Amino acid sequence: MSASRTAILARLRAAAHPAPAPVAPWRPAITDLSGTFVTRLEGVFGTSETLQSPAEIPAAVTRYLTAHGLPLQAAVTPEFAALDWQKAGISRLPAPAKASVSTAIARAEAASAETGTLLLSSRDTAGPWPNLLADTYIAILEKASISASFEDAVTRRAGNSLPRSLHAVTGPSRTGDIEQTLELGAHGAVRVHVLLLP
Amino acid sequence: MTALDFKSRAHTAMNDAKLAPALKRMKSHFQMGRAAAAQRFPEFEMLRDRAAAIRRRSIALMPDLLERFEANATAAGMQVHWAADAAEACAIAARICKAAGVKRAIKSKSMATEEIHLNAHLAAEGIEPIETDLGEYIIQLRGERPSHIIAPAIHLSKEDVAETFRAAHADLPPDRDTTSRPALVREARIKLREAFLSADAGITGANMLIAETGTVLLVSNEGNIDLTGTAPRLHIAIAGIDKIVENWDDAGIVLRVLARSATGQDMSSYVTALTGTAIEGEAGPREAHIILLDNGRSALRASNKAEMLACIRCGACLNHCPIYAATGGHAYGGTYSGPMGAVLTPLFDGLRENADLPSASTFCGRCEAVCPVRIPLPMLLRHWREDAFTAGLPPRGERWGLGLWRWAGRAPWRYRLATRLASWGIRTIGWLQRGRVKRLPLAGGNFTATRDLPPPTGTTFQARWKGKR
Repeated sequence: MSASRTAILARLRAAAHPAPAPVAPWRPAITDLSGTFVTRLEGVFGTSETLQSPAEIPAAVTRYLTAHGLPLQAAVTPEFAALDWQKAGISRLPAPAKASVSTAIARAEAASAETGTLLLSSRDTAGPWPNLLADTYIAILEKASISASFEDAVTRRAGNSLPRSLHAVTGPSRTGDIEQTLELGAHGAVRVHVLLLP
Repeated sequence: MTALDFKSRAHTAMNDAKLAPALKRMKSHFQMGRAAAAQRFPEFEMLRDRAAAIRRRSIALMPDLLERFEANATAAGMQVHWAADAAEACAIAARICKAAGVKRAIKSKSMATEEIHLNAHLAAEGIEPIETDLGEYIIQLRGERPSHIIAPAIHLSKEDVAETFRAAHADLPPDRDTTSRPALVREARIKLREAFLSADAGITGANMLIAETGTVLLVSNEGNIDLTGTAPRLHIAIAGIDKIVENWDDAGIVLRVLARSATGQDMSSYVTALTGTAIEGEAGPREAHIILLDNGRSALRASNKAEMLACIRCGACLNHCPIYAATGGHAYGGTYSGPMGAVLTPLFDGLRENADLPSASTFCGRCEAVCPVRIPLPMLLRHWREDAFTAGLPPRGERWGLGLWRWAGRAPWRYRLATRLASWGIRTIGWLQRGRVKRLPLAGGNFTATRDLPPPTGTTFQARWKGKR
């Protein structure tokens, strides 16, 4: 143990402060989880579409990419690789990894309705890369994976075993660092689109 | 007084024609953003009270919580270091980098690393630090210091940024577009993406340290922190010991008031929780360190300014300060600016060197009114003024004047006589100067240098108060 550690702790202990009582936890009261999630996501420049089954994913992706004038290609995690991408006109790239890519598609394992937030983990199949290194991040989210709050989403995703990293992502990456004017797509995803499944 | 005092720097800043429009934008963006966020969240005031209590509890329990944090972070695989001051923190960071053969380190915005001048130290040790927050990147290229804790390049225009990028990115085609903000953001994205994927180490600060799980919690809007803490093989976090909180529930409440107070967002675009190291098959660094930095904080905790440690660095006090709005951040001369900077800089850089900084306030109280954790900033500044007075630091005229005022105030008859004399004097001056007070003698001259004053009418406050009773 270092001398500085001993000295710092001794200095802190020498000055006693009365501790206020613990503060009660707070959680938002939200009844319509998926509805609130969609509204809040739109409030932070994210978009979404509600689908009926996973089979509809490729066509929905084509609609989105076409509408935004983006190339019809995407890095897709293995779990969705078997969908009929060819029929939808999408050329499927290798699974999202630690490399830049135009569009990445991956499941979001958890989300919170309160702020329209997606929760990525270093233990997700493709890690946090689909959001961090793709220009367009398309998340596949089951309605049952949406919690009311950030804290509940963390508990649901990680339980008692926290991964190396959790990334709560609320809308596209943004910056106001030039003339305090909002610009999207600083370092993370420029566009965040969520395909909601039952 | 040297030319390096607040007064002369403020003077220079207020004569800077380019600075005024940049600071004016603050009102429309930061102030209105916060007000709108508070309005659409009915629980805001209630959660501010809870956040204030959480932060004070964290200060009180600091030694125990730091030890819990250390135990849990260590158990998760992170190496915990303690640094008494800036020199020790820099030395630890450099030693870790050298031991791991780090040549290039990417950095996310960290006021703690600004405070200890880490970049200069790393560069001197042969390690290239690259800032990745857009604002920090811009000012790093320009060799400047941040002028706002959450908007480091707030003093610059897009033309300044374009000029900076053209000088720094000589490898890019000269005929490219650098006239628009989106083009500049895109250019930084491309240049820094290379850095993210090639750096050996990532250095971050911390917004909170969660004792319960040994987690380093960070917020950003750009996503650069996520990449800094995840892409390189080595991660170093540097955090003031004041960043400690007990558990995730506490952290969640602080996050809710932080984003709303800072940028008017309900939640920062990225909230990043880093715990331990990556295991086999998991994305992230296999080696992670946290440096717990004291650098005067334990002394602050033992002083009458301990509440300053509750600060969550949102910047709301800067954004609502009439002095900051007139001078910008560089006039404060330290790492931190605005009301919170006026409290912290004398601590980090010495009261003697910053004797007039506690006076960089009109005591209007807006900083305290908007502070998410209700820090009584004007009172803390008053404590510094008292310390400065006791140490004999203010100029002789000021000390003499205050002494005289105190002497008068100690006997009601003296004070009454003094106010009557002053009122009569100003009235006479007003009469002599044709109905307006245009020039006052002594210290009053500073006041009338830029404005006229109507002469006082009626009787003094004390006389009227007596009359009412």
